[in-house]
Amino acid sequence: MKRTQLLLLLTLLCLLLPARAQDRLTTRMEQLRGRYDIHFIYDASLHGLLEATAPSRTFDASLTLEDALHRTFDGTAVAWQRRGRNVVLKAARPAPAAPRTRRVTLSGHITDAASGETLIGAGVLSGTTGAVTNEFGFYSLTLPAGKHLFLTAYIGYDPVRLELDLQRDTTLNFTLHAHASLDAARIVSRKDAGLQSVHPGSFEMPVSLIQRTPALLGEADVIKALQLLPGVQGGQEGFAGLHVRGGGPEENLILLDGVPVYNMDHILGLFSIFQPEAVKNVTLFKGAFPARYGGRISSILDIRTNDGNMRQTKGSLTVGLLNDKFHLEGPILRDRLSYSVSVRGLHSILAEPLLRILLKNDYYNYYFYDLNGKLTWRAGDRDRLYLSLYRGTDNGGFFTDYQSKTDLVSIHDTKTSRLGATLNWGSTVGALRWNHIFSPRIFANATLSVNRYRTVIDFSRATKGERIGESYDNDLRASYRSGILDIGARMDFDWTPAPDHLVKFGAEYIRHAFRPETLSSVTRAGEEQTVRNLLLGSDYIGDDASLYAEDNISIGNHLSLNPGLRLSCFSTQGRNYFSLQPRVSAKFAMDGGLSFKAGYSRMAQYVHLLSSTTIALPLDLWVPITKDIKPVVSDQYSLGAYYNGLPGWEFSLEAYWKEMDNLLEYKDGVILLANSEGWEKQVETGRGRARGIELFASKTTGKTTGSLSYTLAWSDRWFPDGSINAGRPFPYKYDRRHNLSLTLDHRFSEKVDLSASWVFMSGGTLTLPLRETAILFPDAAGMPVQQAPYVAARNNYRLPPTHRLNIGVNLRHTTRKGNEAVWNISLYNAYNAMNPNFILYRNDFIWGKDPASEDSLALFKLTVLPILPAFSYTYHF
Amino acid sequence: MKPRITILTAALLTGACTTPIDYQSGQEPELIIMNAFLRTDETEHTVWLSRGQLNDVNALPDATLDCYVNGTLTASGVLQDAERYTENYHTTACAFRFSAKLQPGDEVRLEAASGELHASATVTAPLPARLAAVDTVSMDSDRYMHVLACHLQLEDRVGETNWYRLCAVLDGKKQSISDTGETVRNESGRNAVSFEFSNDPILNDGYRTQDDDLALAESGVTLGTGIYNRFCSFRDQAFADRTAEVDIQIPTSSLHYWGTYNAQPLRAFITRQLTLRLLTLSEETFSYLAALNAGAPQGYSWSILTEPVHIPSNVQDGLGFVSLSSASSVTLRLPDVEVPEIDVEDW
Repeated sequence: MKRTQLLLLLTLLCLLLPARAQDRLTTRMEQLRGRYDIHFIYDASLHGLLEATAPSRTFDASLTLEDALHRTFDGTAVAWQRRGRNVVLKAARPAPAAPRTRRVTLSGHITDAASGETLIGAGVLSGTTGAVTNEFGFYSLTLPAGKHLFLTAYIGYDPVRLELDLQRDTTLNFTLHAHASLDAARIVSRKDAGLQSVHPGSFEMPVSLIQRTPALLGEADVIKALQLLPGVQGGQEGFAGLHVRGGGPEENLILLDGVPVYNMDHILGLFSIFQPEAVKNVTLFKGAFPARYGGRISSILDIRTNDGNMRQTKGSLTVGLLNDKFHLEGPILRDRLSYSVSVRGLHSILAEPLLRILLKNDYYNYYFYDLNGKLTWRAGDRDRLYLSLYRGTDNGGFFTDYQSKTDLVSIHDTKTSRLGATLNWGSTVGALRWNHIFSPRIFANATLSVNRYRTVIDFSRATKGERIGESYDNDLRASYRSGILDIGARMDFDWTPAPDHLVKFGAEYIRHAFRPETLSSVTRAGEEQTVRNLLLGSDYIGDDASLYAEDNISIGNHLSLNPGLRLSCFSTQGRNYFSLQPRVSAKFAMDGGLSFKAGYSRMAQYVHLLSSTTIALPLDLWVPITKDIKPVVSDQYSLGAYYNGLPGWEFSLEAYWKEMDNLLEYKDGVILLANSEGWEKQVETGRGRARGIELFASKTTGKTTGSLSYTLAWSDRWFPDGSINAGRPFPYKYDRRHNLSLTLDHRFSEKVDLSASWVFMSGGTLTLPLRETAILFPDAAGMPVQQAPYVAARNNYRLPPTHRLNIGVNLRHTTRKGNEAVWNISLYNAYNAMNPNFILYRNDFIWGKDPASEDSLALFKLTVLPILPAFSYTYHF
Repeated sequence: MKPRITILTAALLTGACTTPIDYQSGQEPELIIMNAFLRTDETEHTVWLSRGQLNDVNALPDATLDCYVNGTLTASGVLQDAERYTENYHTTACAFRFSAKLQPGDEVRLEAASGELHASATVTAPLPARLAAVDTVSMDSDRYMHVLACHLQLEDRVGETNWYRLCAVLDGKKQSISDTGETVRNESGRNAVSFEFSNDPILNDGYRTQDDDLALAESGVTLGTGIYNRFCSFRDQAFADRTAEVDIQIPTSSLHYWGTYNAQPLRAFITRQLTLRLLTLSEETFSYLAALNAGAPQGYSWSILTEPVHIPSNVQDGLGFVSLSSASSVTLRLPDVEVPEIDVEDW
């Protein structure tokens, strides 16, 4: 009896106990997936083993992920490795499977399911092998023949899993569906930029983040969003300049669909030329530059625009406080030919024709506009063509009539004058690109481009009148011109010779035609006309050619390398400058989400931007190197530690050291207007050094996301020949010691989200006379001593720090037609910090006045960006 | 070029705000400014002293000045024209003169004091180079009617980097004689003499030349930088450790010695000596003269359209510049001039 009861009891207990004996790894994996929000990645061949194996120990929801994984897999035949939010599984003891010596390649494009837009940087992973799409959405992955489970993912999109039995080279195009959450799985393998990539100092900025970052007057801005990153600062407070790791604004290679642009802002920097609606991808390299980029020494900003929706016509219309924007894209031939057009302009551009008519005698206006257009043609499975155009310009002008009368004893003069001026500066960029897939392992892109940047200022004054009984008719017209014209061709190849190698190589040629400055005047007095060339800038022609090769190598599961070499040649005025530029980046990824990176790059730059050290009226001038002015060269070393083991968080700590040579600065005493003629004699070449530490932390998941960045940096210049600052080192104009940015974004619901950003920056530098001194002239007759302003050193004065809080709210709703509309309400500089946007000087030296009572040189900060509320309404259709 | 007039206009329209910046806080309210060009070939030396306030500079007649040579107090400065410095007299600096024999290699320290203000400067006399006159000839030039062309030989000091300055002075003596043959008056004087050297690449040292100006004028370009080598200061880069030959042209109009203009029109005999001096400068002095060249086009005033000029200062606890150079000279005796008596009516 007792034995029977015991048996029954045991049976009952077995039934009642949690079905531990029935647990399988697959079941446990589901539990872990749901509890920790992770993904398991494994080869399809492992599936049977997972079904057949029980977990080693029980699972408790209070455990950490690491402990839970240990409890699940330790002691089984399955080995695991955690990589952030992905856990890679493989057999602990290699199964005696059939030998897989034959390799096959899977290649294709990854696109957005709704629009057909190619996705840049999307990943395809099988086991521990993976690939990412290039700038044209193409990927290539070489694997052993056999069954594979593929996981495809991209930020903002639902991942796709697909099991395939690969026996030959296969073309497979993936389409991904957008997900509302920003935190979709990110495949880690050969990313070009970002924490996952091999390059330190690289960053891939999602367009959605740009659009949510509150900026001036509610206008989302690419450059302003980048200024929130460590190591990146704007020039003047509130403006869209780009100074990266102690470099100047001309030291950034800004690529719009692969074509370098010279002018990237409007209204002297309040807005950048990049419309977020037209932008698909933004990648920034601050150091350790891949070999495929060259021509600038401080940063690479690679901006790719949308190809256009291949499936349906979509668009948006935005009306804002300052700007209107219109975007339209759609298919011309479905899945074959698409277009994308984005236009933006100030309200005043719409009023321009009316103002010219109504304000005929007293006209004034200012406006800017940007036009981005693109045609994309999928000529076949292997060929795609792109034609893109950008046109952006700032225009301002005024005309006014006035009369004057002089009635004295001996002079009777009545006069009518018409005074006018027009200003126009901007860029036109055009590019034709052809993608061709030679084979699953070789992808090629050919680009032809033209880029024109021009500044035109015209001034006129016409005067008619009568003086002492005689009539006169005079006029004066002056015209200032400055510009650059680039014509270029480029060929790029992506080659995957083996699974652990992605080789990029190619060649580029650009013909530069610079016209630094011309200023001429025509004076007419009656029938007599006089032409004067006040400045006659010579044209400079430069031929810029380069070859490059780089290899992205994966060595085991932990080590990645990207060695590269770039050879460039710049030919001008009968002289050739050659530059061999080694590049190398390395990444060592440890278990648990910790990784280390190091990088070195040598860069050469063949253009300069001359700018004054006095802020109030800088006259920037693009000039090329010449037979006497050598290229700028830099060597940059980077080192960093990164951690993304905490779900939803990323941390990085980077340090850099950059040495620069052959930098240009104006010599002391140079008159800034007269630079075109013999500008080479007005400048001196010297050296620079920049170093710093950057800290970055970001939360990327959940309803509340944000980031914190802090930079501690130094940047100096030194001209040892003595012509600048007596040969002593001095701080660079934009040497800012501390730079702190904090951003927060909270999604209250699908309809409401709030964003805020707070920035703090140490002040930049100015060259300023802080007092008066006396100077002695040798061999002078009489009093040989004269009073003069005393400038102790170049960039001797440091401006006060600046800080600012921006807030923005997005209110979304669905219209009756089912389209989305968004109200954006923003507050720029929310607590009205009186930051110096400009510095003004006033020289009020008055003879005989008590010098102790009034400054002879007064300094003022001009705040043009106080607290500024704004709103905009965007309608999507 | 990106003119900022449009944004300033927009700023006014949008209610921009200007706030003064107190950029002079932290500066000493007063200090001594001391300036001097000392030379080893002179025994009488002049030092200019000023009181420097934040926004004004005035003479400092109540200062004391001491000169130490190789650590030994050698001389004290004496204020010149002391009676001028009254309460209502405003001038930038006052001259203190002292006598001292300075040799190449000497370390000279000047100390100035006024009340609680003190300033000092320490300079060392460089060793001199060698100057020789090879040839002189009178000729006509492109720019001037008549010039004295001098061909000179410079010998660089071996094994070191050197900086030089070439200058010229005219010493004249005028003996005025009456009808009876008696000497009525003897006068003497010294004037600095300017000369043309910009076409000599060594002396001009990379600055703008006459040819640059002519080329610009021919193309109608009227705007130039205006930075010239005003003091004939140059480096030894082009002739390091060896001898160089250079050319200068002195307009004969600047070699006249007139003596006292308002004297009676008597017959006079004038003797003249032209002394060409090669001064060996310190690097600091060379930088100082380069700064004076750079600041000249703007009249040594501050302008936002001009890159600011840093004028070196080597005075401790004060401002100003003290220079000590060694000299090597060549003296040319110019032809004597007999000035005939002039009728009073003509005169």
